[in-house]
Amino acid sequence: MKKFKIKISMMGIAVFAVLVLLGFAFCPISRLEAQNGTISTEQTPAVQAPAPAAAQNAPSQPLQRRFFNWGPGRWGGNLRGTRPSSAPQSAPAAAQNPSAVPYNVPAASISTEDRSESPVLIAAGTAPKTVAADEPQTADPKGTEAQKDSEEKDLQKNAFPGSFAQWDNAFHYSWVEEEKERHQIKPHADNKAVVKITKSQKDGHTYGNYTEADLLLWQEETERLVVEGSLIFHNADLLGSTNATSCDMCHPDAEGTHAETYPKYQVQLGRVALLRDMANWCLKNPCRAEPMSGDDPRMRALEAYMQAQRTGKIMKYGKH
Amino acid sequence: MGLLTLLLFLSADNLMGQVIPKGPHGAAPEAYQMEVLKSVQTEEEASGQIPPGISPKYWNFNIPKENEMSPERIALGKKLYFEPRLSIDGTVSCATCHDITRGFGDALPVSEGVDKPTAQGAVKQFGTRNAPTVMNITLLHSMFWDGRSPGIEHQAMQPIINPIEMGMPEQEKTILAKIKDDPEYQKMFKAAYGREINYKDIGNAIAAFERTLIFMDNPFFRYLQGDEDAISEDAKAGWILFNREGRCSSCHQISPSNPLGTDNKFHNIGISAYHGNFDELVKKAKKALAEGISEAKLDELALSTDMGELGRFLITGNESDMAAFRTPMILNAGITGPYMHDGSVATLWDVVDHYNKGGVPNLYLDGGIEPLDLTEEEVGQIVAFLFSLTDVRFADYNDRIMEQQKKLAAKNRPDRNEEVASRKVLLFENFKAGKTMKGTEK
Amino acid sequence: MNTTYRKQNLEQQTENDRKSFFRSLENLDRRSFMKVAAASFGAASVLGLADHGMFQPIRITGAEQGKKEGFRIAYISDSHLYVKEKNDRFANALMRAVQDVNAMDPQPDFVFYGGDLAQLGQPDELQLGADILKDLKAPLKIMVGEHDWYFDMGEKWRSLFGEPNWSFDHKGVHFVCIMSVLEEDFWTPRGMNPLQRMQTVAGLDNHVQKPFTVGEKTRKWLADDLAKCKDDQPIVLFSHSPLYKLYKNWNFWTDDAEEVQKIIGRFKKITVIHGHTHQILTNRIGNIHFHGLLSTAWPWPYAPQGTPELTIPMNRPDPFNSNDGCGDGEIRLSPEGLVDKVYKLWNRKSILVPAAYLASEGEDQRPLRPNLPSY
Repeated sequence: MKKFKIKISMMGIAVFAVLVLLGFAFCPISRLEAQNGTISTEQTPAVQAPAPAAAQNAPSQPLQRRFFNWGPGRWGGNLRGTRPSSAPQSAPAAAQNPSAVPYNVPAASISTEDRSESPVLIAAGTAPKTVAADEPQTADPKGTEAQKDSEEKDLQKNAFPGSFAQWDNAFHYSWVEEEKERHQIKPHADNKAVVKITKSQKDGHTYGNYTEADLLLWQEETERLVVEGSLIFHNADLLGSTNATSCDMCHPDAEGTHAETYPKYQVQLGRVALLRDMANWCLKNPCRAEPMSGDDPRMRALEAYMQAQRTGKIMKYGKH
Repeated sequence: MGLLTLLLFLSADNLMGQVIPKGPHGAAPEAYQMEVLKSVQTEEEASGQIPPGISPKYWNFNIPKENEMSPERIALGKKLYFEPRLSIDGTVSCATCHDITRGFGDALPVSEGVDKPTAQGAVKQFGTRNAPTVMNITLLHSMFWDGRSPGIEHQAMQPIINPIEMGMPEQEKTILAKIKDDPEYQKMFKAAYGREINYKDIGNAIAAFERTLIFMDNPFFRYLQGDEDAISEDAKAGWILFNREGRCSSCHQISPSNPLGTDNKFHNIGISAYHGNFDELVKKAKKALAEGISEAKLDELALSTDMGELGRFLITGNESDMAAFRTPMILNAGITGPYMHDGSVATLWDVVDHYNKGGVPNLYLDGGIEPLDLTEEEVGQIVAFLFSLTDVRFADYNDRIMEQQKKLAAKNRPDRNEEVASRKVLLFENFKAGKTMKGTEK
Repeated sequence: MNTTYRKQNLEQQTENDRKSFFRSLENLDRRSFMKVAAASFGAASVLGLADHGMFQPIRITGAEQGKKEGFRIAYISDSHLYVKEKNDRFANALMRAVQDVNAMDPQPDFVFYGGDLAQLGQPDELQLGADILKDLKAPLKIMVGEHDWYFDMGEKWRSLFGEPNWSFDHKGVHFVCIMSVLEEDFWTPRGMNPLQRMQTVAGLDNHVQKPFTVGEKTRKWLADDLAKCKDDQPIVLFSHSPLYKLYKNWNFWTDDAEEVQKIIGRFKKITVIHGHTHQILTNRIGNIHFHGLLSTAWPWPYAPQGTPELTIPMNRPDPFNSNDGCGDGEIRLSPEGLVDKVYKLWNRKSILVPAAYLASEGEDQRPLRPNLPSY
């Protein structure tokens, strides 16, 4: 018995070590070329042409995350949108049916050596099927199944838009600091009371047992979204404005946006509106930009920022 | 006799495919109108039921407690609405300018009232304002283009004493003279209000009747309720433009409890500025304000042709209301032309052209109107949407009017100014103070 | 004239008159309605307030009639121009303001421009502004704002409009204008190029920029310029930043405000007219009266804190109307050299802030309070 145990554990350590080494070899974080440098307001980190990103995406390099991945083709404003071009376009199946390209899958699992043999996830949850490059997918000539699956994926995505959006700008941090330097955001709520309560719990108790590190994590991540909103709020190009108007021109520090008064009958729209409806109206009218869908990562960030700036105000829906 | 019929036929409009006889001042005879009304209204509507979907609280808000609806009051009001004896020469009733067969208006730029007796004989008189429709007016917050009347009860009394419209003097005795001895009226007034015939109750009763004139069953609302085939694709696109690029929904607010498409507020969109003497009028008005003029002089100024162009300003005295008029409702816009407070805009294409170019620049222009940069296709789509707002009971009339307007618009589009609409030339770029002029003149 | 009228601001009194008779309207027929309306207009005009195109300074300030005449100047401010192709609204609004001023009868003595002519200090923006302002009939006196300056540090500005500091005397009043938006160098340590520097300054709530100052050089220039003026001479000081400390986060602030106030504090009739804030602002510190200017481009909200007590905030603007909360106005000088400020808001009632209101520290002749909360 003992001998067996030792054997297993030795094997386990060895396997573990190998995996770890492999992981380091392919880990996106370590090899990712982050875009560093000052984020100046004149330089628009907006939509870049897909081709260059893909071209840089040589087989040996991991997924290149574009900085601020919004724009057409994203699910923002286009519920059937495909994943942006930062996903590897190596699989030819991608050209036929872009939504069949797997996303959120680490580059390591896509063998790009033999392109004709790229594993392609056709249906969610099924085993990867090898498809020859020039072979049409006869099993599904109209591509309706793939389409349905892409729809399912869209639904999944859109049911939880935040879970994908939070990764958009995940792998840099300097932009957060720079934006915080430029524009104040109101402080996050103080959750110290939570730690006070849970300190009385015995160690090892998981549910409801929050530490100060947890609190800091919550704060950092929330503020990250709020700061992203601040960035868009202050930038006419990111908003898509065609007359160089940004939100902060009339609403410095989001003053006057009154996020705490929604839903209300918005006189400018002639009907009942939510905060995002009014934001869209402002985008369309003073800013002459295209309105955003509610799931657009930009709109989520803007809402986060506007609501954060009104922290402490009493919620009074309908207040003019 | 045959010639007369032929003449009548030639001079008639077609409502629902029928030939309409013409009575005094161009309106259909009252008896004929009453028949038409009976045929388009159901019993429930005629008894004043609330249309579906509108908040009853909001609906009843505008109905004063002293004039709650009752069948007797509605019946009395109906009789009075069609009563020409309320005019000085017995030719004009409410139904003359608010003609059931002409969209409850009169399809004229400005209204024709009683003839003026002169030494040379009777002379036609025309007012200065376009007759608004009386359909759906219970939801409006004020009456008249300048909002000087707080409600229908008050408004209904005014045309009777207007020297151009129905010409009665401001004496209750004279106004009631022709009807107070009528036993029918005596009975109906007693039944409706429990009092002797009086001038105020005339207004009350007519108001009660007009509150039953609800015509909100249009193809667009049917589309909103789920009938995808109710309106054309153009109209659907027009609805989107109405809310977005057209910027229409901010003043022509349209929501379930307020389906009329108006904010009930007053805006200067520059229609008065078309008139060559707008600057002089403004100067006169400002001078009058500064110097302090006598009541008689101001009264005379207000009723005369010119000063009426200053709209809401004459009511509030606020310089910011100069030449501001009330946002009209858009329901049934197809059949209530010509448009604007002076009927100076002939077709709905011209209306959209006017907004597309940002109105006519003048120093009091409402900042909410601005060049929209709509393409010709988009203009057509908004027009299609507006025509889809006419009640289905007047569909044939609507179609006929649409054809007429289309022909007119194809020939001439006087309000169009593409340079300004596309923002190549700015609104105030060629504007010179003291030289307010029609926006199309280059 | 009844002295009780002087206790209440003239506009307030008229509002009360109007309210009381409008209550009984429902029973009036049209003729009587118009008669009563006329009576109200008559009252309004007798009180001398109704029209702003007419010139009535003497009645309003309640000063005794002297030999000297009062006069008025018009102002336009904060147009923040982009070139027409980029943004048509701002250029259109400035054109409208120019026509507004040209329509004044009689014409003002001169027109003052309160700074921020361009939005990003670009040469073509400044040129566009200069071209539009050329249409003014009355002479133009212009002040520089931060949006005009920080792209090329005043190079194009000087070529178009001359030196930013100037002064002259007019009908006994000494007018002086200073460049008061000097910022400590924040751009060199960060390696910013001119456009980045300008965009940083252009952000009202951008904290990378430094607070406005007048600076030692200009303070000295101001002291020298005012040295020859007697204590009782009326002075009007034009400045883009407010010359007092309102709200630092938005640079509604002058860092060396106290020092400037010390320089000008000795004068008995000193009024500071400032731009930058795009709203109605009224303040008094010691003898000094402060008035803000309206923008033609967009209104700012009132700062979360620091708005002076004397300020009666303007009515909340409606974003549907791009002119709401914007406009131009007048500065009326009484024969004694006291300043009444008129804010001519587009599509709104004009607001008059008389000198007597500030002199009485808010007791007398209170300006019209808007019916909606400001923000």
